[in-house]
Amino acid sequence: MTLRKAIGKYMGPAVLVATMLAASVQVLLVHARYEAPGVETISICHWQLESGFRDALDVLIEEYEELYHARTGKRIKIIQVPIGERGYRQFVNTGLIGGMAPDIIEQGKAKTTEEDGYIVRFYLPLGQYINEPNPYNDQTPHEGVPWKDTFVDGLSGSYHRGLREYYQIPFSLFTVRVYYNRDLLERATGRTTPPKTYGELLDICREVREYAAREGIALAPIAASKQQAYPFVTAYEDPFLFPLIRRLDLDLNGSIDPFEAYQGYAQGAWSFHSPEFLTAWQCLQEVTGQLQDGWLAAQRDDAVFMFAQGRAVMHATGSWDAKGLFDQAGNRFRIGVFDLPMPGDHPIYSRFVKGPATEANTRGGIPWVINLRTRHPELCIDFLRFCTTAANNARFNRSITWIPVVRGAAMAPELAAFKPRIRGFYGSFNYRISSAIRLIGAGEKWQLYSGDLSPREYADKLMEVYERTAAEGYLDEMAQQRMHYRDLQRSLAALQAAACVDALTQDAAERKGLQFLQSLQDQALYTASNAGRFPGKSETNTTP
Amino acid sequence: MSSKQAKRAEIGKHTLVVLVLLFAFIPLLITFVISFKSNQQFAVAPLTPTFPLHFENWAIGWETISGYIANSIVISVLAVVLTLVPALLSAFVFARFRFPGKTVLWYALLGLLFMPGIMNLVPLFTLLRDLNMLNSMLALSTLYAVGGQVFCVFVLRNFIEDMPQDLFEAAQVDGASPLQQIWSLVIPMSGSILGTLAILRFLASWNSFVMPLVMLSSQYKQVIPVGLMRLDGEYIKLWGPMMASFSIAAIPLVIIFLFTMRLFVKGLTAGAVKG
Repeated sequence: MTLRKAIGKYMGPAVLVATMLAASVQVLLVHARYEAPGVETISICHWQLESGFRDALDVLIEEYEELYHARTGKRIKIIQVPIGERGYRQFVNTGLIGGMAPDIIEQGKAKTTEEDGYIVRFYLPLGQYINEPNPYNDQTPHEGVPWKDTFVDGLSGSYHRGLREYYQIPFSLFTVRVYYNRDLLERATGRTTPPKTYGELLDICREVREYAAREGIALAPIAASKQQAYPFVTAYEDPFLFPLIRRLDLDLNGSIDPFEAYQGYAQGAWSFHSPEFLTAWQCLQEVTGQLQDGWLAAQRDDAVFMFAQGRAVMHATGSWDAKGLFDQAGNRFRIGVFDLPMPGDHPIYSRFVKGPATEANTRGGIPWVINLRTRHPELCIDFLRFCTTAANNARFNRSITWIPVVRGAAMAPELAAFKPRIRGFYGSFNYRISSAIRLIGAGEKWQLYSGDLSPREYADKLMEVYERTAAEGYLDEMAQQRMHYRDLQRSLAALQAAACVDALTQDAAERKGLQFLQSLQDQALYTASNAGRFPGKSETNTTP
Repeated sequence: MSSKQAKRAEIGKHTLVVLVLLFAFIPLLITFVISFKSNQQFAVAPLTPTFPLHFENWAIGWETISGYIANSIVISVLAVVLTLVPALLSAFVFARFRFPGKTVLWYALLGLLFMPGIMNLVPLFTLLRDLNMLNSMLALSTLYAVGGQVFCVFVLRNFIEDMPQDLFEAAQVDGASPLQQIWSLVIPMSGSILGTLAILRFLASWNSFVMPLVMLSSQYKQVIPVGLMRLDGEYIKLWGPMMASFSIAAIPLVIIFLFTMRLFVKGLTAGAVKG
């Protein structure tokens, strides 16, 4: 056999065997590194796949590993497990059920991280930890302050009302604003500043369309997808309802729950044909009419891409997109940020709208929960404490251009426009008392936003379903509430009993007593500050 | 048919082939072009080459997925070996032996062909959990091997049955045991079909996404399809590194095809022209 033939015959198998050998060596080396004896390992999973996020977390991880080694002489390894949004739910669900979930998990996307029934089963309650000071805050202004109180939201978003416990530790805060292409705005409209009034916003949109027609280019005033249309809903629907909310708010918690809504409806205080609703939807239609053609079918990325390509002047999204958008703009164009103006200058709308909704109740985002089955709960807590000192939280968020969630942590200057708006009205109007009304509302609203249904037609549809199903929904809701309060009372009674009976040590009794009091206090605070949020809507506004 | 008409027919055929090839290769070409772009360049000109070329995207891509490639190779090769060895033995038994219940067993086996693999996800997960074998690369290879048995046995049995009976009888006369018959007769004569099955099983294991996502929890044990997801950012996608990674991930498959294409084609066409 000639050499050439031999090479031809054995080359293929040789390459395959060599590849297999190289891969096996690589796998063995990696296994040896991660499974080294005497090294404690903690894994932390999330769906934040942007390189900035992983890099920022890596910095904290490396520092913590070094610090831990210096303090204890032992080695610890913290491994990030970034999973894409598409696979996150399956990964977390199966991991938790199979008992192999990571030690620290980013809450969200999966039912098992969000619903009380799962939370109590799978996650470590943090009540006892968050009322103690964070030791990493020693010799800082937060020294001696309970960990909970070092967060700007006081961990209100972490509190689970049904469980009367805290479960999450957040890392960041998010608000929603409008990004605009300053150069394009100037070129299209001659303006150098963003709109300050609602009228100006509509004027700019009109001028952009005229400019596009004049130049024969494809240019939209605002780029959006379904998801990115929500900021407009929050900005231009809720404020119209504030006067109605104040009239109907029986329990004075600032919001209308389905009970109050139905009672008001039964007394004839409102209907979907009330001017508050009709004008809100009319206003909303005016704004969504400025979005690009076919926005309902667009994906989130399409809208971002459109804005980045300079095919739209404005784009409404959250502070979580800031770094990505600033990076994409680069030197090609300047980006500005503004808050959506309220229609206070409008002859009709100003009768209802007295100001924007407040963002004072914005809750912490990127919430981490600790797996109840972790072998290292104290280490997990310690790592989260390390990450949430003011200095570390500021550093982490600055590197990904997000808003810190710890008091005293400085925000990146380019995020100034995203600072939560404290002044404004609080409240929400939840009329969704039956499944049918929830379904019709969720299904038909897109037709309203796209202009296929007029506000009156939309109101007619809602009225028909509400009229038919609200009474039954009211009774169902009452039954649910009864069960909820029964469970609540049982749970509180159990805590109280434990505090009285547990006489093992004075400390134990005292601790349980404190836990009971804390639980009552948290419950009251929760009710005062958080009740009555639109289910599923606020989440869209405040978390990425 | 005149030569002019024949020429026209040839042009028509070639045009059709070129069109089909264009559809196949343009996505690959676009992937390659984008892999050298920054996000800014991508926003300005998504499909055409732009300068400067960002070679660092390939470095990022390699850094991100090189570990996954090694894992995928080990798991897929193991899966192929674990699939073919028992499949060949089973196929030999079904092809050469008579035993009670053979037909029932065979149809039961064939019945499994109609069962969608994803249906087994939950029972398999529970089983592995009970066996304390979750998060194990070997267990994943075993799952792939189990999943590939039915098809491989089905194909190999038919192939072995088609081999001349005289050969086996001659081997028996010479005192060859069944294992020796497999080693000396079946394997040398079924190289092409074994190669084809190996490639098909390798591809199936290589591309599997849900199974490793669910069964493996440690990131350093993960495989290439799950690893590629890491680059698919939720908010802003990094197109350059993502496409570079996709290109890198395709390279091992391209190499395998380069060296085994002859076997693959031979295996696929085996039995096509029986006389």
